[in-house]
Amino acid sequence: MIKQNMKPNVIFILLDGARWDRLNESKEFQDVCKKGTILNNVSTAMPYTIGSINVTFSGLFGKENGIDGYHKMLRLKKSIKNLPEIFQSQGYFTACDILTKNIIPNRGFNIHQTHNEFKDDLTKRHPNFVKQCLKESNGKPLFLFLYFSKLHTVTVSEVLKKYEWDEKEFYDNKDKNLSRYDDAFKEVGKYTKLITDELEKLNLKENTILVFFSDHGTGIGERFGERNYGSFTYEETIRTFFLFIASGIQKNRASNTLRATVDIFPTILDLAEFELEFDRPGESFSKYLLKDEAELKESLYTFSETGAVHGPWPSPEESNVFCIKSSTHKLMYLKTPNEWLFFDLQNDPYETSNIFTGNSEIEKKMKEKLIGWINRED
Amino acid sequence: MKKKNIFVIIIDSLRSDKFIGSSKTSHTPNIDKLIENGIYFCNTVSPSDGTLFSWAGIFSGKYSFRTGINLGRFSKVDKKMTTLFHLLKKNGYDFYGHLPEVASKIGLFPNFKNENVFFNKYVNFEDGLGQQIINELSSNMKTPWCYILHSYDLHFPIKIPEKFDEIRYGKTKYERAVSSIDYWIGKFINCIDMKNTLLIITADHATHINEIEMGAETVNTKKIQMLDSIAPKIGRIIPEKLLPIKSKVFFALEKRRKKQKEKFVSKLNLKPHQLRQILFQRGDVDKFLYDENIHVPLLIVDSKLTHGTKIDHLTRSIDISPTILDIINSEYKLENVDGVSLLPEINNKKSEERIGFIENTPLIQKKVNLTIGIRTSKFKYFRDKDDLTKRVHLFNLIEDEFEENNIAASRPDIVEKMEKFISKINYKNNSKITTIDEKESKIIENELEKLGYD
Repeated sequence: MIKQNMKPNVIFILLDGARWDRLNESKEFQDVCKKGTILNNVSTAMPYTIGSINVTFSGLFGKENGIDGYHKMLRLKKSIKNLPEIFQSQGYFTACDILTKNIIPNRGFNIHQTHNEFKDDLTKRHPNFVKQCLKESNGKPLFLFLYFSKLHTVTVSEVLKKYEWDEKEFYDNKDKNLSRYDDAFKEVGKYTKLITDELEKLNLKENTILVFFSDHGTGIGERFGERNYGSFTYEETIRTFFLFIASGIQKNRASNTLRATVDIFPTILDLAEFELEFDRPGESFSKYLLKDEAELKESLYTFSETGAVHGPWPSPEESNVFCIKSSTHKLMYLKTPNEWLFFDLQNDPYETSNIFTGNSEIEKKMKEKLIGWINRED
Repeated sequence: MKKKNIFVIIIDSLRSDKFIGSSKTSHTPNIDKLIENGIYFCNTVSPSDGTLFSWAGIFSGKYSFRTGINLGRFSKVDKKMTTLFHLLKKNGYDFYGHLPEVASKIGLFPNFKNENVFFNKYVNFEDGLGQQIINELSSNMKTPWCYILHSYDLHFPIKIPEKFDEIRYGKTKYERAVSSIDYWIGKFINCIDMKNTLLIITADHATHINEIEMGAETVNTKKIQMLDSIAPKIGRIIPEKLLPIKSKVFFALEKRRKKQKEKFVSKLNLKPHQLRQILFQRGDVDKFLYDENIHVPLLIVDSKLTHGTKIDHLTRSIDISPTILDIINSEYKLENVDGVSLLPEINNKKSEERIGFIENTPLIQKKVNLTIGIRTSKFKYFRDKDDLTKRVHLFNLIEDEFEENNIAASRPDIVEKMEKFISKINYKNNSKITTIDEKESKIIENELEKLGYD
């Protein structure tokens, strides 16, 4: 797709915690969006970083890849090949610069390094890291994973370190929280512009697939019990975006068609033109990105799950909050209190009104699907 | 309706490609005729590369690791396990047989009606065993009978009867021994009423052949292995209590022989699969599961079944028992087993693509690195038994029949599929660890702290 007979570089850049509905706050990020196609209604399978990244990079839900709880962060199954391992097997030089070493295991990485979110200036560190990788790769194509942690740093220092999960003051100051969040996102936007320009300067524009994405959103006090993310599966945390930039990919296009993060794995393998046949649940949308299909096919349903570290019903060992989402509705199951919630996303996009009765046909169908998904055999 | 007699002949170490096919140089008129009159399964894999594991699989219909044979060192099979013999007994069968002594120790075989069932493994047909079998088959065995014969004639070190030690009986010692076995099979068949007998010929496992045909010449390491020729004589006279010493001496000699062999082959231009053949030794620390270890013949002859059929689909030795029960129309079936009856396929019914789980048999005398894997009709996959990232081998058997080009690194998708198969059959080494130990807890705690969760 990129250049005949040349394997494209693939660079994933994680904008940790970026909310799909705040992207307009940064002019720089909007400029970067014009360079490619953005999908802004992608359901993350797990609204916390370790779970989410491992689903995206393995193309498998937590139960199947082994990481279906915060406390299972070290349990990625050895039998599962994730993107770094696959790209390395196809002759790529693979490297990452991440927040902590267990965000994703070092399997398949030539360089697996971490940065200090409080000390390192990632606007300098990441361009230098790309240069270093180009040098060390000896002509091999690159598979890189860069983690931009600004939003995380602000959330940790301004929220998690200041408020307990049940502190009223936090939930009473949504506007202030949102304003703080938007300020931090502006930094994110500047970073995306800078790194895109730097990659162009390094002549990587023509033969690189660049993917900016978020692993989950961030709550700013909308729900009691959700200080940041990982407690529930409301839109502010499970709805994510993926921006794809490459020479063959349609520019300046946005889609709010429903898709899931499990779709990224087959899409990237298709874009890289690997002739491999993995048995994964996701469906590639590479044809849409490459303009071979005019419309992005919509997922009938997407599934998400979480088990919080803190909050009213902590469950870091295993998920206890589940949801199924269609383009119009969301059904959520809170296992610990055994409570069902149902939302009409078209008329109530902020999920303020639980309309669960258990009686409507849509509810029954979605409930059956969700129970089937929760109880599926590994 | 009266049940058919059953005659199962297992030729230890007989390879499929030396039973039928273009690379065979032995003279086997009897086997050839039986193939013409029977159904031959071209792609049969044994569950293991060792006799005991394979027996356990063949006669239980289960993968060897499920039979109990692998628990600890060589142990007995699970007492509660239902085998072919239990069900044949329910069908009124009596058992006759000739088997190597070790068969008496693993709790798998039934009580046999004849005497002198178990023989010393160094005894071949030519040493009187063949005549003993003829006598038994010619005697008035109570019908329906099931006769289990396990021949050691091809087991290394091979001892060829003088009259077969000629080029017209095969280019290599191994091939000539096959010719000799064919001669005896012909004699055995003559003693029985084939119209009322279901005949199965197969092997427990295949083997490496330390002789390579290179045009008209054969390359071998005869001189280096001189001691092998006297091994049967020594084997027979060593008392059991001295066997551990014998093993030590054996492995010490093996080490020395390996070095000599390596020096010898370095001068030759051999392909990787040929090198494997020449260099293989029983005492090797690293075990593998190439087709020369597990691709075995499977021939079924029954007067009522279609003649002269060759089936290419993958079949497993563990399918033999369910197939026997199906052919004799047994009302009792093996339940919850891995093997399936091949009868529908024999009767031209389309079958699903099968997979075969394979595993190395451990050595009793020495700790070795074992492998487990999967054989499909297209791919062979095997890797270290305990660590799925070690000694990973994947071969495309359609493009690479001699398994010389390991594509595991470039085809992670196929490797993963194979691992999924292993996981699906619930291989016991893959059991999930569910508890989080202190070390793991500490790492998780630190990680969560770094992520901002106090």
